[in-house]
Amino acid sequence: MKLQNDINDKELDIFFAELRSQDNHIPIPAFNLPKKNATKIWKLLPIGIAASLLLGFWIWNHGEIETPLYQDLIIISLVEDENQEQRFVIEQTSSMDVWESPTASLLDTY
Amino acid sequence: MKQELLNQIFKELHREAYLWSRQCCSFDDELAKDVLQQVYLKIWEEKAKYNSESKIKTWLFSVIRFTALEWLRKNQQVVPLHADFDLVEEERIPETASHEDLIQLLPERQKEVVLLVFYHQMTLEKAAEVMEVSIGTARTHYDRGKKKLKELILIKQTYEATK
Repeated sequence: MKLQNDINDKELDIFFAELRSQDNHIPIPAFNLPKKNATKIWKLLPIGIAASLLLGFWIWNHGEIETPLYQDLIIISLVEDENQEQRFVIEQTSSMDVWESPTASLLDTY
Repeated sequence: MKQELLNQIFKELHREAYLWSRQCCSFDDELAKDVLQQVYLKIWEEKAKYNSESKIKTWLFSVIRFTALEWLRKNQQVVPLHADFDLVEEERIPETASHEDLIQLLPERQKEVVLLVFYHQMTLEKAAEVMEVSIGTARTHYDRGKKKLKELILIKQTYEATK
């Protein structure tokens, strides 16, 4: 829309009308919307869920491994009670995680 | 604005957007296609955001103009002259000059404003918005562009009459 005081633009109007009519023959490319890429967070979400599930499954099944012993073990420990009296504690077990003899240090020290 | 509605508006404006892109790319069809595709990509990647302050057509035209200039600067090392130089030598108009050739003879800003106002039926205010200049500057380019184009048309008509 031109300004009201533009009264001498007839030739320009004709010029641009001709140009518009020429442009009607120009092939217009198809309207192709670019596909919106999902953000990286959304891409990583399923991977994150899968990783969490695997980790949970591993933790669930990965309890402390108990090594079965070839025969029951008797552990005799010398402990000091609250009355400062020493007494033997005898335990019997068929499996153990880590066991260190209370006198093991003597092997290194003496 | 909802994405579907925006898509619908872009679809309706597509033809005009392509023609404006072509005009910004010196009427080069292939370049105009690339520029318009880049514009759509910018919008979809939200590098260009519509803020509802202006009409969507004005905003889209502004993004197209900016992208075309950006592309030209990057790939052809062309820096548009923003000064009001009138570099056209009217005597050198070829006899077979088309309408597009005549428009191309106008300085960049004058070309833009006359196309926006006369071809795309925009107000001078909207044209100034697309060109990112003040209304006063747009009016100056508009007056000079009109005057220059009228002279060019007259010269061409004189050529044709003397054939």
